[in-house]
Amino acid sequence: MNFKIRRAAKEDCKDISRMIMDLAIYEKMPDQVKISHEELERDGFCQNPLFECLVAEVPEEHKSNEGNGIGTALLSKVAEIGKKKQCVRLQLSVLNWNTPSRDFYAAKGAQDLTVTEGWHAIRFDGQNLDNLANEAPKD
Amino acid sequence: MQWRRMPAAFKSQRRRRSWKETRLSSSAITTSSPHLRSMDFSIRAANLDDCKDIARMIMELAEYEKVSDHVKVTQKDLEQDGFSKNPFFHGIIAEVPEQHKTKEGHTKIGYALYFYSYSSWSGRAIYMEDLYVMPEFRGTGVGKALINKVAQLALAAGCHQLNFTVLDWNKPSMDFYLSQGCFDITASMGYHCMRCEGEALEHLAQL
Repeated sequence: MNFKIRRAAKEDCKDISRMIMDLAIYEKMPDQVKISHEELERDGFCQNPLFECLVAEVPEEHKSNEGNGIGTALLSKVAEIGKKKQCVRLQLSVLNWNTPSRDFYAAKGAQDLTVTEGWHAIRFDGQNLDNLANEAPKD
Repeated sequence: MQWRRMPAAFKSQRRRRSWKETRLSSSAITTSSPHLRSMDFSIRAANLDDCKDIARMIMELAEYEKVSDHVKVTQKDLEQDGFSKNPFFHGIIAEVPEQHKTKEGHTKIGYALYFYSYSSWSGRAIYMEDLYVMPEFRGTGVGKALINKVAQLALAAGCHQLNFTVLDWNKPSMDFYLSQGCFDITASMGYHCMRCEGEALEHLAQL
């Protein structure tokens, strides 16, 4: 099946937003999605964008079919872009119960640093982040 | 990719809210050094001249984390990557006055390294790559002041998350972060940190 990988354009944000929600549903956390296509358009397509994005697209006749090799192509393209900018690491996180994805990343040569080295991902958000910021010394 | 550029809007926001050196007095709650019980230190943005001390402290942190052979970044890399037109990271330095310098003569005794990232669920975020305080200055409020400043900068830039990692055996750090109100999303939600590097990354880029 034909597919192509290309840089996202502003017009893609509605579809990216749709797929972000699809991913959040898969990860069993759809209520965690707080941003819409509007934030993506603002933050990804301004003069100094906060993120970059690739999209995978199939021709009209294949719409809504599942693909083979598309995930690999997307991940490889990210790696290629990183290499061109002299990046030495590609990092991501995956949920421990998400076996298909864990297997996919392991097959691509990713190490699970939580298992091998004991790294834990830590986050401050919401009220906790506000509290932490409010304790900063006044300028 | 770990790096993110800050948009121009953020840069002008930061200039308007630029913060000067802040002096703090701190009385230690627990410290093995009595002379540090009442101590001044200041927190300020890192500049190009700090890269030598940042490189030194990066190595000290790596030794603490038992991975000093992993450190490949040099002072020159920090200068190029942190202080160019579109920096890959930002730094904050904790400094003590001359009378409290270490026996080797260092007055720069702690740092935090961070950069802006993005959450597809919450939008703008900050990733704190390093937070470090030299051993003899721990327990005096320096680490707290550094992370408070990162959090303040995060909110000022419109970020909704401050993310970082900590080793599971690093109990003093884990206890400190938990006491400040963070979530361990590996323990509570099952997120694992994954990395591709070296030959695996080369191979992936060629597929």
